[in-house]
Amino acid sequence: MKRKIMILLLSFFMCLITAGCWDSHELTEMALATGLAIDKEGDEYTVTAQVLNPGEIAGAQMTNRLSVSTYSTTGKTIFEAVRRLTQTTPRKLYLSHLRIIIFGEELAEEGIGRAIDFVSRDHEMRTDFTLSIAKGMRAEDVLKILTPLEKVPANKVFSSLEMSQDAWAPTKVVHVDELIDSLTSPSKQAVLNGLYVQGDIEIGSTLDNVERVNSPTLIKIDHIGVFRHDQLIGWLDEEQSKGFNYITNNVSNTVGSVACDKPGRIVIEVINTNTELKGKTENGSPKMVVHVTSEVNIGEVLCPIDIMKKKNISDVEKKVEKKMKDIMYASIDKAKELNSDIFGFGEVLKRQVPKQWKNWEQNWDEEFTNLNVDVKADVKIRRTGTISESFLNKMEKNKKKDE
Amino acid sequence: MSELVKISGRQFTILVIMNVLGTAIITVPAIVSAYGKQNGWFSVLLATIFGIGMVVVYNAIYKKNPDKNIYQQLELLFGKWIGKLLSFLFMLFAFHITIGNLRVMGDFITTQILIETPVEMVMFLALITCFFGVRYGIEVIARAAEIFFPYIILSIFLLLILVTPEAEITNIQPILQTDVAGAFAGALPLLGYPFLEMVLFLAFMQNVNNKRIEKQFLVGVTIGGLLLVVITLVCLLVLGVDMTTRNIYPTYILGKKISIADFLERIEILVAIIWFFTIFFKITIGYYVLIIGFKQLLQLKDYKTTTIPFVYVLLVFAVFMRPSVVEQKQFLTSAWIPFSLTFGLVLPVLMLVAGLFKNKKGGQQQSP
Repeated sequence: MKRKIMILLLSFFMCLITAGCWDSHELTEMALATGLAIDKEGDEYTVTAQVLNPGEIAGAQMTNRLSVSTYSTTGKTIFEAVRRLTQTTPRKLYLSHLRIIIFGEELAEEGIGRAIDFVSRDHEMRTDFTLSIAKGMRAEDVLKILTPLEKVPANKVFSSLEMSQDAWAPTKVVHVDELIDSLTSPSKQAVLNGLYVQGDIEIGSTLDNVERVNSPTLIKIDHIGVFRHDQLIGWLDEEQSKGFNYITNNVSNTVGSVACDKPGRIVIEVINTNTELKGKTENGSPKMVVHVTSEVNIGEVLCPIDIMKKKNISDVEKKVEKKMKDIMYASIDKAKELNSDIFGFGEVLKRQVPKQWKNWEQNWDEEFTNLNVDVKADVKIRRTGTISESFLNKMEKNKKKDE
Repeated sequence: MSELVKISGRQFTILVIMNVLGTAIITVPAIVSAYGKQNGWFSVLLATIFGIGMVVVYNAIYKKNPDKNIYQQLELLFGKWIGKLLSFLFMLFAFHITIGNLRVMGDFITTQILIETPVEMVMFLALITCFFGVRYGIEVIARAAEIFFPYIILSIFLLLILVTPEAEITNIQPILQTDVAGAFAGALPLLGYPFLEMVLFLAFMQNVNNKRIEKQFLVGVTIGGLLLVVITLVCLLVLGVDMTTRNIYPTYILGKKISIADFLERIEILVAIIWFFTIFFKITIGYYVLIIGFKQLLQLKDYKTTTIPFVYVLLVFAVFMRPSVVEQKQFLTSAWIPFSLTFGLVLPVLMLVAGLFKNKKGGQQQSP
C-alpha cells in the first residue's frame, strides 16, 4: 500500500517536471512572420516583418481587417532589430513559417553577407524559404503590397517565384543554404532573383488594391541579379537569365520563338532539358563544354510553312538550337563582363580536372574572363500539338484569292 | 560482478551498435568533413577498420580470463595496488564518457528544441532515466535496447530513403583525388569516439551468455561503423561539404531537408528519435561501468548503494567541466584523442603484454 502511494506521488511529481512548460509558447503569444524585408539605413539595418493576422486567415467570420500587417524597426544587427520589433508588435515574432526574405537593392550592393549569419544560425529559421532582391527599391515596400488571389502576399511572392521558374524559366529560386554555399565557394558566385512593385505603393498597401478586378499595384518577378562575393554587381536581362538557367540545368519548362524563313514566327515549348557540363584542359588552359539536350513541342505556328514535312521540322530544330546557343553565349558574355563565375564553371573544373585546377585556382577571376566555353545544343521536336498543319495557311490562301 | 546476470549475444550486439552510433551519429559528419572535405566518409571508413582491429585486441583480453571483468583483470595482472590505481584511472575514462555524452545531449536539446529550459534540468531528467537503467542492472538495459532497436533501425532507413531525392553525386566529387591526407587526419578524432570507447564493454563482457561473444562484438562494431559511413556519405551528398562542416548537428539538418511532394515535411524529429535512444544507452553504459568499477575498488557487496550519489556527481561535473559547446567540441577534437588512446589502446595492449609475462612466470613456477 505504501509502495503504491509512493508510485502515485512520484508519477504526479513527474507530470509536473516533465511537461516542458519552461519553453511553452502559446499560439496567442506568437506573431507568425511570413516575410522579412531587410534594408540598410546608414550603418543600421531596417527590418520589416510581414505578420499574419490569424483571425483573418482562418477565422469563421471575416471582418474588414487586413490579413497581414507589417512592422518595421531598425537595429545595429538583424537579430537586434527582430527583437526590437516586440516594442511595436504585441507578440513575439516566430520565424519558422517564413516564406521569403527580401533584401533592398542598396543593401545588396553593399553586401548581404552580414545579414545572413543570423538567418542560418537561428534555430527557428528553417531552410525552405527563398531569398530575393527588391530591384531598384526598398525591400520594405514590396512587403507592404496586398495581393489578389493569395491572401498572404509573402505566399504569393513565394509561389510566383516557383511558378515562373518552373513554367517560364528566367527565374531562379534561391534557398539560403545554396546562397551560403556560393558565398563561401572560391569557384562559384552567387545569384539572387529580383522583384519589384509595379504601380503606386500607397494604393497597393490598402484594401483598395484587392477590391478592384484589375489591381493597380502588383508585385512582379524580375530577372536574375549577379553577385560578386556578397555584393550585387549587375542584372541579367530576360534572355540572359534564361541562358543562365539552361547552363545550370534549371529549366524544366519554357516557351520561346524563332523567326521563320518566310515572314512570321514559330513558337516552341520546351518540355524537357538536360545540361551536361564538362571541364577540360586545352594547352594548359581551362575549357568548358556545355551540352544541352532538349525535347520541344511546337506550340504556335505563325508562318506559312508545312510543319508536317521532315525537312521543315529539322530546319526549325536547327534554328532553335542556334537561338539556344545565342542566349547561352549572351549570358556567358554578360557574366564575363561582370567578372563573376555564376555558373560554377570553377566547381566543375575542380571536380573533373582536380590536378590542373590547382594552377588556376589562385587567379580564377582572370581565367574565367578568358575562359573558352563551347556551347552545344541538341534539340528534338517531338510533337506538334493537337493539330497538324496550321489553319492559318488555308486562311491566308483564301485572303489572297479575294485580293 | 554478480554472476547471476546474463544477457544474450544478440542483446550484446545491439548494445555495441547503440554505443557506436550514440553521440557520433549526429556530430561525426561535421568533424570528418572539416578535415577530409568531400572524402569525409572515407575517414569514417578508416576509423571503422581501426575500430574493428581494436575489438580484436579487446577480445584477446577477454579470452585470457573470460570470467573476470576489466577491473578484476587489472588487479590480477598488476597486483592489488597498481591494479586499483589503474582501475581508478579507467573509471575516470568512463566518467568522462558519461558526462561528455550527457552534456552533448543537453546542449542539443537546448540549442534546437527547448531554448529557454536550463540545461541542468534537461540533463537531470535524462540522467534520472539512466539511473533507473543502471539500478535495475545490465540485464534490463540490454532488454530495453532490444526493444528499441527496431525503431532506431527503421528511423535510420526512413531518414536515408526520404532524403535520397535531394542527393547530388557532384557533392562528393572528385572522389579520393584531392584532400586525401585530410581524410586520414579526419579519422583521428573518430578513433577517440566512438571506437576506442568500446573498451568499456570489457567491464561486463563476462556477463554475456554466449560462446560466440567475440564474433558478436565484431559484428556490432562493423554494423555500427558502416551505418556511420552511410550517414556521413548521405550528409555530404545532400548538404554538400560546406553545410556539413558548418553545422554543429549536420544529421539533424539532414532531417530538415526531407521534403516529399511538399507534403511529407518537417519530420526532423526522426533524427532526434534515433539519437535520443542511442545516446541513452551510451550514457547508461558509461554510468554502469563507472558504478561497477567503484564497487570493485571499494569491495562493496552491492553496487546499488552508490548509484544515487553518482547522479549528483555526474550532473555537477557535466555542468562544470564542459561549460560551453565550444569547449566540448575542442575537448573532443584535441585532448580526447590522446586521452582515449591511453585507455582504449595503451592500457589494453599493456594488459596483453602483462598477461603474456604472467603466463610465462606462471608456467615456470609450475614446471619444476
